[in-house]
Amino acid sequence: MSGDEVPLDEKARRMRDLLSSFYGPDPSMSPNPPSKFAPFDAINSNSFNADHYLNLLIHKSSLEGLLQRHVGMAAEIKNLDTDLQMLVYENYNKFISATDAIKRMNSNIMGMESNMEQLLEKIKTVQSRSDGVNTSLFEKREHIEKLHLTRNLLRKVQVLRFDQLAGQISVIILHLAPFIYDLPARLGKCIKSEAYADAVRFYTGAMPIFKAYGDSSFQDCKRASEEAIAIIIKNLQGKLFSDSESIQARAEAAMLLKQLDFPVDSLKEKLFEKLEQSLGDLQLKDEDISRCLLMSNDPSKLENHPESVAATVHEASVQEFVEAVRAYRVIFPDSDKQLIKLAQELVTKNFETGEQYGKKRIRAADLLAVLRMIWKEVLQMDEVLHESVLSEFSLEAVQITVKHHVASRFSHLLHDISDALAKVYVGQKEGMEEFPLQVALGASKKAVLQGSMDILLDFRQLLDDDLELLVKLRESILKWVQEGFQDFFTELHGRFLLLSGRNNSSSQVHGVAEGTQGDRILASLVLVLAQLSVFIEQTAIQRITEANKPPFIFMLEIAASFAGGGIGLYENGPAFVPGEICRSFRSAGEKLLHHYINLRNQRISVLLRKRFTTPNWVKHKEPREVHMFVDLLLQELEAIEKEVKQVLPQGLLRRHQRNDSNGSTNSSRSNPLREGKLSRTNTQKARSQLLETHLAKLFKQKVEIFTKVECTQESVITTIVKFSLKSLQEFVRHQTFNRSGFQQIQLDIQYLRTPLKEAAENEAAIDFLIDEVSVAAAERCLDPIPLEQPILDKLIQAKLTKSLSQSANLIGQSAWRDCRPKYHRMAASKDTTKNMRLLFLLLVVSQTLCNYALADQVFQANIGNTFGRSSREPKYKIDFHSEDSPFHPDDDQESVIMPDKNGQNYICYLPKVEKTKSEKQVPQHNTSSMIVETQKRIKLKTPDELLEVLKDRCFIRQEGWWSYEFCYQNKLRQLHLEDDKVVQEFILGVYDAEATAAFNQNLSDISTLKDPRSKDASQRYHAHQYTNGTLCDLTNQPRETEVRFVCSEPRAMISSITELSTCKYALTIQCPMLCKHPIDCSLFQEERPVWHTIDCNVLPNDYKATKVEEDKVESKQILMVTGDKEYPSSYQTEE
Amino acid sequence: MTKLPSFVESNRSATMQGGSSGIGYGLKYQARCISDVKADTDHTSFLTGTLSLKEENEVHLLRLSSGGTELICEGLFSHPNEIWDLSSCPFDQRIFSTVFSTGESYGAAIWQIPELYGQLNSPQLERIAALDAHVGKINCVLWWSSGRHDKLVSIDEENIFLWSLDCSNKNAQVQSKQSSGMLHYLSGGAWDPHDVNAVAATCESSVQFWDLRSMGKTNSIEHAHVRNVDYDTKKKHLLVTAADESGIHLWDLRMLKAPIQELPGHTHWTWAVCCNPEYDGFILSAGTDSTVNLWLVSTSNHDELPSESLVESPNQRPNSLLNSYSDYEDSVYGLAWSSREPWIFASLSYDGRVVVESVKPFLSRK
Repeated sequence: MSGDEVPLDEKARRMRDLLSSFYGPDPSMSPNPPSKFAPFDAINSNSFNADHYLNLLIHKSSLEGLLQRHVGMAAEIKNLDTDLQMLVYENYNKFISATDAIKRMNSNIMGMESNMEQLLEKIKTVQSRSDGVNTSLFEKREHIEKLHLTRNLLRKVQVLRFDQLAGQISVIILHLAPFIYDLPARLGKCIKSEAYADAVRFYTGAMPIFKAYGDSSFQDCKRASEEAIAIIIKNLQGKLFSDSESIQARAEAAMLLKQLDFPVDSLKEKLFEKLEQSLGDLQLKDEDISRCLLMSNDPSKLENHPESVAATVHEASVQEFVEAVRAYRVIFPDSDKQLIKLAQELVTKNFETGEQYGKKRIRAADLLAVLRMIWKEVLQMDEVLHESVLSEFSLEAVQITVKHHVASRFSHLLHDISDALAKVYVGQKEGMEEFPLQVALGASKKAVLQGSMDILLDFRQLLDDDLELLVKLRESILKWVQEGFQDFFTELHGRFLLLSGRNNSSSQVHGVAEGTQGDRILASLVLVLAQLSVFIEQTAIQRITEANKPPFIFMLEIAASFAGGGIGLYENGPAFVPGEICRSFRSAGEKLLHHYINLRNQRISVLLRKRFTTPNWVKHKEPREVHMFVDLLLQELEAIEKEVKQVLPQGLLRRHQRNDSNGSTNSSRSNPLREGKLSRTNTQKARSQLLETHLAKLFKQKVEIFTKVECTQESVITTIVKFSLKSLQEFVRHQTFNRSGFQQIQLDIQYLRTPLKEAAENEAAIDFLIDEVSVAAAERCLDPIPLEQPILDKLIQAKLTKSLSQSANLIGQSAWRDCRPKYHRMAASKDTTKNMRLLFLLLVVSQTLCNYALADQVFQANIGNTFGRSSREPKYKIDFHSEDSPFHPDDDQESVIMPDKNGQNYICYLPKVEKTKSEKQVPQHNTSSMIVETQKRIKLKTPDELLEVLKDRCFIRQEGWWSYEFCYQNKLRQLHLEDDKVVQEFILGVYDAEATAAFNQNLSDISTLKDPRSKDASQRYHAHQYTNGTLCDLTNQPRETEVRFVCSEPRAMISSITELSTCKYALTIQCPMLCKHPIDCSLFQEERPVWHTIDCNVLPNDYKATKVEEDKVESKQILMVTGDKEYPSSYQTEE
Repeated sequence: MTKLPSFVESNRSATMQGGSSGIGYGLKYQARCISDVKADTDHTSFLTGTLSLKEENEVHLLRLSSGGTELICEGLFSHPNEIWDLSSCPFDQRIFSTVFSTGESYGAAIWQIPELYGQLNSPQLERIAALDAHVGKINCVLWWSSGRHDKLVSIDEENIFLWSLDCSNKNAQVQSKQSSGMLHYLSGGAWDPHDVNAVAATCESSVQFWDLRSMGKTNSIEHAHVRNVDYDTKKKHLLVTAADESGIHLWDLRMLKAPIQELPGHTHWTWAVCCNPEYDGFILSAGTDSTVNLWLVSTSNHDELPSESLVESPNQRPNSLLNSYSDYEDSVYGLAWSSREPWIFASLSYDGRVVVESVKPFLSRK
């Protein structure tokens, strides 16, 4: 068993040995085994001798042994055969694979061969070109190099195992080699001559070879050429980035670089960045625009170049950019997307700039210029990058730009208007301008109209322009503009309401912030807004609509031609609806006007409320003068008038009713009966009075009190006056009066009548309302006995004089002249009116026409007249003279023409009334019949001189709680004494020589007044003014007193003290010395009634001078009054 | 048919606007106040009193005839002085209160109409009680309209009085009294029908809210020159005020900062305002422009958030003037809805004309 194992082992080992000896002749392996097998198995050793071995074997072994040996040998041989066979096979296999390898190599070489051939051809062409240069100089060297190369090659090829292949290759290389080796030199040459294209061609041609054999055979050559190529690349890059090179050159460079497998993308990016950079430069800057605009706007530079120099700079750069883009596109054909993006970016940015610009305050023409510029660019770029659809893109951009522009224009306009309106505030606060409201209104009107028209014109320009871009947008622009107008007006409307404080929240804010002063300004602002609304409604919208018409027509055309497409515009109706705007502004105007009136009325109501809620009317003191609230009221009205006159237009119907209402009998419907009631004390009759009034109302025409307010001066003022009177009436109705209170109201109302009628348009209504107030006061009076007419007149005259002098003092001498006419007109017209009424009345009386009419007229004229129980009242009779024996007037007698009911005209001569007169002569003395004979003043003792004896004397009077201490020309005190000690003290006034002088000066010749309050109403007095007493906490003014000296026997004493109005007192002192007044003993005594005759002549019917005559009279009066500061009507009561 | 307030004075011959036919009744003298007799459940009646300084004043009990075509004078009673305020007791039709003036001084009293007044020749009013604790000008006497309540509130210029009234014993006693405070001259007021302890009093610059338990001011609306104030009897927290120039305002008592709604009011002052006792949102106002206006306001969103109603500008609302009754010859001071027939109201102009109108034609609008 072990024997089986051994041979197996042996066999394997032997095979290994054999193989190893065959392949790797390593002798070290062999010595060992022979030493082991030498005895009988040394067959494998070199010293083995077969014969010897055989002989030895035959000798030594038996047959059996030999046989056995033979079998063994045979087996061994067999084994060896097998091994041999195996080895042969293996070798064969190896051979086959080697053959395959060679075959593969061969095919490679073949491919190389074709490449080589190509190369060869190329090289040949190159060669032919460069031959001229090369031949002579380098022929020998070339040859040597060739040989050297060949030898090297051959040497290398020899290294190859297969000569065949090597041979083939060498053939090829033999052709190539000269070029390859030549390459670096050629490249160097190319670099020198900057023939980069050739160099690149060479290099790329050699590339495959370098790739294949660069590591080995062409190593040096490759290195050299690579170095050359690196230079080339560098140069090419430089060329690519240098702007000075031509585009083609650069493109070529880029292409070459690409061929050289240079990372072009990064280059591309770099280049792109550069483009972007130049884009940044290219972007429109504001300066560019302004420069460009300056050029286009400034005609002086037109001669230089119509298309402006600066703009061309920009254009040039655009051109450059376009070129660059074009080049870039050529260089990098696949970069369209990026370029488009870039271009779009540029356009967008430019349009953004344009948009920004459009948002500024510019005219459309400027915008147009900018747009045109941009459009030019776009077109240029579009040429290059047609795919970028730049035009569509820019269309969108333009849309946005124009839209923004439209919006911004309108918002600017709105801003302008607000600014203009803000002037109302500023103007009022500074008080600089004379007519702030007028200015503000004018400015805002202008802002609205001019602004709108400008916008329209501008947009017309925009529309008419043939810029392709805008033509496409025409429709939309139209729509935008109209929308813009619509929005603008809507917004304006909203803002008006906001400004006027109609909105809840804002009005509260206003109220808090602005206070009372703010209210005033607010009111005027409201007025301006109201008028502005009317203006917009009536004028602006119309004009805008008219101006809008051409585009409208255009739009209609469009709509017609694009039957389908154009309709889209009208889907929601036209954007601009003038009718709607008009409506909203009309209502806004009305609302604002009402708001204004309301605001004003509120102020007046506050005034009246204070007046009527403060005093205790049931315990009212007798009226001494017209209450100061009328001044406030008139002031307020005057302020309103001033405001209104600045802002509102004049109505056409100014005073059309005036003449009718002056003497007409039916100017109010209520009075005859109601006033008749005043005189009747019969209670039975009183019961039915109300019914009578109702009846009367039913038959009389109702006077329109609350008529519609129109937007005219007269209407607004009239409305406010009416409202004030109505408010007055309501306040009166809420009180109960004693006789004095009633008289005070009567007085105030009487005073107000003239100025209010002056102010208001509808005299009938004002008359009616004033009468209503009187009636209301009478109704609410416990003892309605009105003031007597003369007293009423006196007080009113005093008031007029006072206000005249006040205004004179206030305004100063120069301004005084301006304001005089107004007051004089007031006084004068009042008097003529009164006179005429009186005359007319008397005419009627004497003709005994109609008793009822008499009553009517009496009340019409003056409430007080009918109650004229005073013996002091002058009496008149009228003598009518026939045409045959006319009355012959004196030269200076005043005449009035009066018609009777039948239309017969009479010229009536007023009687001459004596009165004292100053020496100052009136220029028109001889024609003015108001002033009668001049009576030289006799220089005698004045009342003051008579009173001198009272100097340093004091008088005391006890009245209940209070005692009064009066010291002549010193002061008047109100004291409360307890045990002869003064516990409480008020100074009612300190003698004021100036005020006294002023007072007496104003009164001039009638320095003595009647005391309306004394029991004998005819008593005259001389007055001293005491002012600057203790501060009154009710009126916040110092107390003051008028001290009246009357003639009375037997001794000097305080006869009465009264409070005329809050903290204004009147102290009456009886003085016997005044009775000695030498001018006229009766001056301070009772006056006697006088009868005057009015003579009337019948006039022929064709007498036309009526009007002229009247005017003349009036103007004369004015002149006279200005002459000596006297009121002309005093003739009625003066002697 | 909503229309703007009519500025155009109609001619005398013009018919009443809106085609309604007012029923008229003439008093002898001028008059200011008219009151619905709420306790009369069988008839629609009104009480009115004249205002004549010098003549003998009268109280008229008017009844609308069953056909609703005529105003009949049920009773005519003489009253010692001119009547400035008159209100009927909400639980006894024969009892009413007046505020009167002699011209120099004021007085207030509770009166009872004699039981068989129709059969008497010259029926005399019986004075149950004189509310004689006042000094100065008395403005009004208030009854609590929502039921039998033995308390009365009277307001004069400077004080609020709470009276406890005992009709059977003919006695009224001051339960408590509080001064309105310095410089707050009261001019009128209204008693919250939803809260027996809450009274609103108007003064020159504000509307004050009083709690009758503590007799203290709880809150106020700073709104000047409020002439008249009325609580809505149906809707809690809703108060309507009428101011001279600035028209009518609706307030939510829970948020008095700003009105929830404004109505333009009248051409001249708005004197009186009245919420309909039955129909939601019907408001009457009377003014010195000789008109009575009927308004319809949507009160539905009054309970919503205040911010909303603040943002909403009043002029965005539809014009809510339903009708303007302008056939008056003088300022209208007296105004009263009938609680029995809530579509009927009586108005009284200063010239003594009572006009009863029906708003039925407008009810369908709701």
